[in-house]
Amino acid sequence: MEIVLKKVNEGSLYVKAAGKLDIDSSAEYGMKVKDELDDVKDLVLDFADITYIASIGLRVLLELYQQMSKQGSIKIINVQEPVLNVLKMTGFNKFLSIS
Amino acid sequence: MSFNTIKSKIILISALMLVTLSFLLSFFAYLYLENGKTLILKGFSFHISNFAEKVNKDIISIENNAKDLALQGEMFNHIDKNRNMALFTTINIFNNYPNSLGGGIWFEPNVIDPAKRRYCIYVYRNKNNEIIPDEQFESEEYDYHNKSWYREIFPNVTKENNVEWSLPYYEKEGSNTLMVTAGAGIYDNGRTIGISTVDWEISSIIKSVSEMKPTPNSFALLGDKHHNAIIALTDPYMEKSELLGKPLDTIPWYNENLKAITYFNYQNQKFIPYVKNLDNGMVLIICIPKFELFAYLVKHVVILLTIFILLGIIVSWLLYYGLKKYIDNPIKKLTDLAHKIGEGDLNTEIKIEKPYEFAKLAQTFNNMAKDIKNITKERQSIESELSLAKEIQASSLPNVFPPFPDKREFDIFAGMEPAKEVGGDFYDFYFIDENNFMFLIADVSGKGIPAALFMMTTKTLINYIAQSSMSPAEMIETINQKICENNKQGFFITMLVGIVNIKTGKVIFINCGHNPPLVKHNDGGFKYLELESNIVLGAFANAEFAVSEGILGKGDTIFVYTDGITEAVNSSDEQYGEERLLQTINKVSDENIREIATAVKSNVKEFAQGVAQSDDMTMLIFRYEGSEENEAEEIQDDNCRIYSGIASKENYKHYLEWLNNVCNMWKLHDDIKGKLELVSEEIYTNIFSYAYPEQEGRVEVVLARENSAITCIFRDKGIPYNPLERPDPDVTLPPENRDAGGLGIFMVKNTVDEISYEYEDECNILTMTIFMPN
Repeated sequence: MEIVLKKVNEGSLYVKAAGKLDIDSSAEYGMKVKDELDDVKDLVLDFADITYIASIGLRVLLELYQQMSKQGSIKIINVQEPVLNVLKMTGFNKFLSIS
Repeated sequence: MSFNTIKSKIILISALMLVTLSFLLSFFAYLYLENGKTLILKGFSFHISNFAEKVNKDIISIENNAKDLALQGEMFNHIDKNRNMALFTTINIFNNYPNSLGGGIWFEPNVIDPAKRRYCIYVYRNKNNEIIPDEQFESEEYDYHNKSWYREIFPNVTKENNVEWSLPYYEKEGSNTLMVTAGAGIYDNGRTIGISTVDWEISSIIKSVSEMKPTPNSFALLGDKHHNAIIALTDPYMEKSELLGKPLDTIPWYNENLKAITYFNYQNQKFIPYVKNLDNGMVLIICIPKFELFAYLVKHVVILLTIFILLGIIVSWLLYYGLKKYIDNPIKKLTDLAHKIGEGDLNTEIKIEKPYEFAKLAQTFNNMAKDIKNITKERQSIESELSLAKEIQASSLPNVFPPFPDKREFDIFAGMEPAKEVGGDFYDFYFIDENNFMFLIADVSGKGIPAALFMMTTKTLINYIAQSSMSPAEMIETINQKICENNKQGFFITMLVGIVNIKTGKVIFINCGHNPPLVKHNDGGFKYLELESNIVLGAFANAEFAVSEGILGKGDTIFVYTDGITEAVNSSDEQYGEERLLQTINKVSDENIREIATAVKSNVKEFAQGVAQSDDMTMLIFRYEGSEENEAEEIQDDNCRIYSGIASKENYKHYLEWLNNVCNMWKLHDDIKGKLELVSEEIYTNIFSYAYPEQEGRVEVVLARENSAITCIFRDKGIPYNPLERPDPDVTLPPENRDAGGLGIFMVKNTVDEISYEYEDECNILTMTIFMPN
């Protein structure tokens, strides 16, 4: 999975990945993001190229949310419809800032 | 010897020249001969005329002698009858005629002396050329009156024609020789009282006539026409003595018209008669054998012609010798050298010094041989390099079969039958990752070293790029770009790539302008497979490539080839063609895929009937044997697909590919596909995570299609567990209090339209149905 991480400015991390957050890639995605989370206040996950999310991906999102709720905020942008459907189905839309 | 050689032509020309010359010479010889004949005839005529004139002179002299004697006789009778005086005068007269032998005056009986019956005076010329009287004739015993000559002459003389000739006779009393006598009359008052005679010894005439012998075998006749008597004859074929005095007709060749004819035949020879009438009425005929007349001339001409012919032969021989030496021999030498060069012997040199042109040509030949030698050396080294190149090229293609003996999932065989030179066909195959096996067959446009180099580069490039885990389309696009970048020579490549997942049997084809593959599903025959068509490689850097996908079942066979097979031609210029290939390949027993290659190759060769192969023939055969540990799929029918395999995180990819293929095949909506993917991932993950926590186990997935719904059944033999019994997680809880457990099955339940669980035959069976939107 192709993952791009960018520190936009002090305390702000922008993550863009392409592919599926499935059994194959979710763990890698979570690890790479978590490694960069020190001193991050604003985490932006760009889901423009995420075509699919499985429960294991939701798990990663939940972990990230739980960590970020301690040090700042998490925002998911450009969510595509299939992924949005899953987030809605599982109630994740209720606590995650999604746009 | 062929007529079309220089030698024969020049000999012909020489011969023609010789013949022409001979004709001319013969013509001149003929003219010379004719002219010579005329001259000779004239010469002889003149000669004989002269002789006749001489004889005439003798005759006239004799006749005059006779006349003088007669006059003297008249005077003797008339004046004094003084015998001494008469004798003296007679001797004097004879002295005046040196040619006369002898003669006298003879009187009739009792004319001079009435007492004497006979009275004559006779003198003759002795051997000392003295004229002396011969008194034996004066004796009474010599009855001259009865002698033939007297009786012939006396009655015939007249005053007007006073000289008469006797016939030849033998004078027994005198010289006892054959002679003729001329006589003139002695008159007294108109009465003939006697005759004078002058003797002409025939032997002397014959002697003269014999001298008158222009050629050895010529002969003469002296005849007395008046008396019609033969006087002298030198005809060697006749008995002369018996003929003398006989009529002229006695001679067989004689006739009155001899003067008018040019020749007569006698004793099998041709004789030319020269007839001269003498003044006393005699005729002199000289007969010369024509052969002898011209013998000298003919001899002369023959010698001349012989010299000419000898000269001609010598000239011809010199010409032939010259030609042979200066043209034929050099040509032969040059030909021999050319033969030797042709046979590969380049070390022979020839030396020709003359003529200059051939010397130059020989030098050229020698130089040529040297050049050929050098060129051959170069070519040999080029050829060895070429064959080396061919070997390198051949060895660059994988040629150990089976290449992956430990892989039971497939069998592959490939081979290239190169055309004469190194060519542009190639094939290759390798794993591009653990499960994806790629094979390709390609044909570089063009032949020879450049195509081979390009092929090698391209083959390496493809191998390199194929390992870089791109998607197949990306991979080909990248390869195409790289080829375009380095393609200044304008080569292009047709290529067919197949990528088979050996675990699932999924196959991806990318056809870049190549011949369509032949594919056989296990139960049917080979068929040409229509693929998405693409542009050839190397044409446009930005070209995009479409892939075609399919699923291989156990025993399915793919046959790919290059146009060297379908475009092989026979002696009638027919192409082997795709139809023939299809027929051939469907006739082959294909238990072993090598047999397919062997059969196709031999069938193409049989078809070509010995016509040289103009292009490489390359074949690659791939057979999918199925995955042992992961029998990917058993196709039930078009509406039902079954997947079976070991459930593991690694194998999930294969399952997912299978699922994708089925979805694509059924052309399912992306939404349904997404749902199936989501459901599959959650259930599959649960199975390998929870149903088989300790050791790996099998999962079987059935996808069934109905008009309005897709049913998906998961079976496993793991720990019995009904996921539907698990309470749903509370999705309304704030995140702080949530864990992620149970979310998966919750999502499944919310995604599918129906879901049920059974445990049967130690199997967890989860059946889900998704309704299709209208």
